[in-house]
Formats: sequence, C-alpha cells, structure tokens
Amino acid sequence: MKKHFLLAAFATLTLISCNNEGNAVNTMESMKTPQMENFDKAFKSLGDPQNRPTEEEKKRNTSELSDRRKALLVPASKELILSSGVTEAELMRKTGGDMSQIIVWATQIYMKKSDEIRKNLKSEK
Amino acid sequence: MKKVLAILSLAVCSLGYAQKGPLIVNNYSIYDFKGVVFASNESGATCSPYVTTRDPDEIVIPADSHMGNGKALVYDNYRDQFTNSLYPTTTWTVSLSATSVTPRAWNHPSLLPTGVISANTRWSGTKFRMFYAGTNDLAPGGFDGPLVLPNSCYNAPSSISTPLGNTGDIFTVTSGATTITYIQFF
Repeated sequence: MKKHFLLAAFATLTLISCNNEGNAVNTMESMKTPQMENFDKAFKSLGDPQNRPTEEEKKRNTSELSDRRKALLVPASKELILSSGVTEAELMRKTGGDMSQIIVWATQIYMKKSDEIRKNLKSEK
Repeated sequence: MKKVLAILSLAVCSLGYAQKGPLIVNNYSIYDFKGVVFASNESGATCSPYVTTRDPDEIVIPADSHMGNGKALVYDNYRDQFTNSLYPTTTWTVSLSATSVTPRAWNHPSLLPTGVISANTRWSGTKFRMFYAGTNDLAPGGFDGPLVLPNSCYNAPSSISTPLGNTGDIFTVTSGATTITYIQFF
C-alpha cells in the first residue's frame, strides 16, 4: 500500500515537472532576432524627449517624418535588411542610400518576419 | 447617378490621396488605447470620402502593444485587415458627403484594395482616449484627442504631449509607390 502511494506520488511529481517544461514557451519577444530587436528600439526611440518633433518640424505641414527623425531609424533598418541575406552592395543599388526606401523596405521585412514567428508560435500550441 | 458622378469626379480631382500601404499603430504607453482610426481624402474642403472604423465602435489596443511584441495594430487595407489583423474591424462607415453616410462590411466590393474608395483615401488619423490598463478609468493628464496627418481640412495636431509626459505622433514614410503610416503612443 505504502509502495503504491509512493509510486503515485512519484508519478504525480513527474507529470508536474513535465508540465512545467512546457511553461518555458517561446514568445514573440524571445524569438526575435537581435536585428529585429534593434529595429523595435529605433522606433521606440522616436518617443525619447530629444527625438520628439521640434516646433519647427511641427510647422512643416507635411505628413512625412522629418529627415532628422528618419536618420534615427536608418542604422537599425539597414542592419535588418542585411540580416535578411541582402548584401551591402545590393542594398545601395536598390535604395541609392535613400532613407525612406531603406525604412520602408526594413518595415516590410520586419512585418514578414514577425508574421512568420506568429505562425510558428501558433503551430507549436 | 449623382453618387456615381460624385465618385467619378473624386477619382479625377483627388490624386495623391490613395491607400498605398499599411497603417501601423504602436502603443508603447502603459495605458489602453480606445478609439477609432480613419482614412480620408483631404484635397477638398470636406475631407470626403471619409472612412472610419465602426464595428467595434471602439478599437482597444491594450497597453504595451507594438511591433516589438507582435501586438501592434496593422491594417493593410479596408478588407485584408479583417483576416490579417489582431484587431479586426467588421464594419466601416463610409461617408461620400455629409448626406451620404453608409455602413459597409469589411468585404463589401466598394472597399476592395483596387476600388475607388481605396484609390481616393489615405490613412489619415485617429480619435482616441487612453485608459488605465484593463479599466474604464481615463488616463491622467488628458491623454486623448484626435491625431491627424497635417492637411487642409481638419484642424487637428499630428503630435500631442500631456503635462505628464505621455506623447502621441502620426507620420508617414514614403518610398516610391508605398506609403507606410505610423501612429505611435508613448
């Protein structure tokens, strides 16, 4: 009887421990590449006090992000594009170094990658 | 017939206001966003056609929902947002003029990405209020308002900040035929 009880207790413990293993689930955050993370950080940095639109920028009366603020997004955007297998030469050829083209391209890559991650997370469940 | 004429004339005179890319809303703030997003044509004095989310009557983008954690609101266009977005809009309100205001389902033919409404409107803004996460209690400091791309027919800011340091911003990045519209809250 005692043996059975111990066995049952042991089996329960084993089950619990196996269950916990599943708790170390992957999340969007944990599956992002470092380049994706830096891209996020760049966008988030637009809210930092020194990166907010200046009075002059507010008066421009255009929808387009100012060049000063675009420049904040470019390094991380380039990094993300290069990480997708594009070479530096290709990047320059396709964009001519134009900041808007680089940011739009990187955003498209980012969206695609995060869609893929989301799909993978779904299929894991 | 009148309506057709109105649409046709719009198609001719409103170049430059077309849906050329996604709308991305990043809520980095600690508050829940509740509100609507809209698209319009700002070349005339009436801002029409004007297309705004209707059902749900308020989109809720929880605190800390952004590209970084895959929880941003991303609308590719009036139709595909329903299947692709985390925040699907079932019905839009389409205003062709002050007297022509019609609810339209997300898959209504007039709202196709290739349709005349899409060809003549651009993502242009949001009207929102912020709430303490998970509650109906307004965020402090008046963290609300319209946030609209600069244009000639709304009188609304494209960036706001509260006395408590919360801020909001709408802007575009345009490359060739693609325009991405970003709305960000901090």
